[in-house]
Amino acid sequence: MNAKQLATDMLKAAQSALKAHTDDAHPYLQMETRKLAETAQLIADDFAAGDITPKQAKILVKMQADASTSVLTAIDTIGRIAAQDAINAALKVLKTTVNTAAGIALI
Amino acid sequence: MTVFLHRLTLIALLLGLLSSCSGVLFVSPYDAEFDRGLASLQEDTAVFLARMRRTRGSHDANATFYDEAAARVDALHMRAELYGEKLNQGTLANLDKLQAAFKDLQEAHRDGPLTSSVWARTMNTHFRALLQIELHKKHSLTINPPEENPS
Repeated sequence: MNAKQLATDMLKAAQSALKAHTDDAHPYLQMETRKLAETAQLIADDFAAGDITPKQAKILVKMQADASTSVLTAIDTIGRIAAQDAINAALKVLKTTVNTAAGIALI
Repeated sequence: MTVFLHRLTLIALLLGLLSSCSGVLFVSPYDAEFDRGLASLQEDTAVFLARMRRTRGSHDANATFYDEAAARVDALHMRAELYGEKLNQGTLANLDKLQAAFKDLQEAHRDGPLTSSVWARTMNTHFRALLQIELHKKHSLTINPPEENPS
């Protein structure tokens, strides 16, 4: 068993798992940031046009703040899922290598 | 004899460590039923808000929608709790915010018709935040297939 090669393989597996999540999370965050800015503009426009009452405008601002927090919570959770998958992918490589070297299903 | 015992202890510790490290679980696994329930609620909400925008429907004539939506969010919350609050904390926190958003929407509707497109946009942000988590849980199944995942 080559420890250096094992470490390289584990790192590769972890990076691949992380990339699968970050490739999707980045455009999601970009899209939400853009949409939140657009919605803020729409609130101002629709309020000026009389489509939103003053009370509704206040409620919408609160709803937008809550929605922004939801996006951050989603990003945080995606980070946890990515970390979980990266660790498990690396452990899978470790498990296969150790079991192959041992000649039996040791772990 | 002492050296042998030390080596045996070390091997046992190493095996124990490797066995316990066969997999970690930070976030609950993907739940297709939860995902479907969430997508269905999002669709019904979008249809309701499109109708309110077109018809300028009053709150009183459409109050049942809010009762049903609250019950459906409660049902989703209960299902998400089955995996444990710690493993599903992100989803549970966002479901609480979704429930609050429906209450805010109802309060706004009491004040006047929902004719602006921003209501649907805002509700969709809440839904997307929840659906994104489900999407990544689903990705997880591809990266670490179920038989490889810790139970």
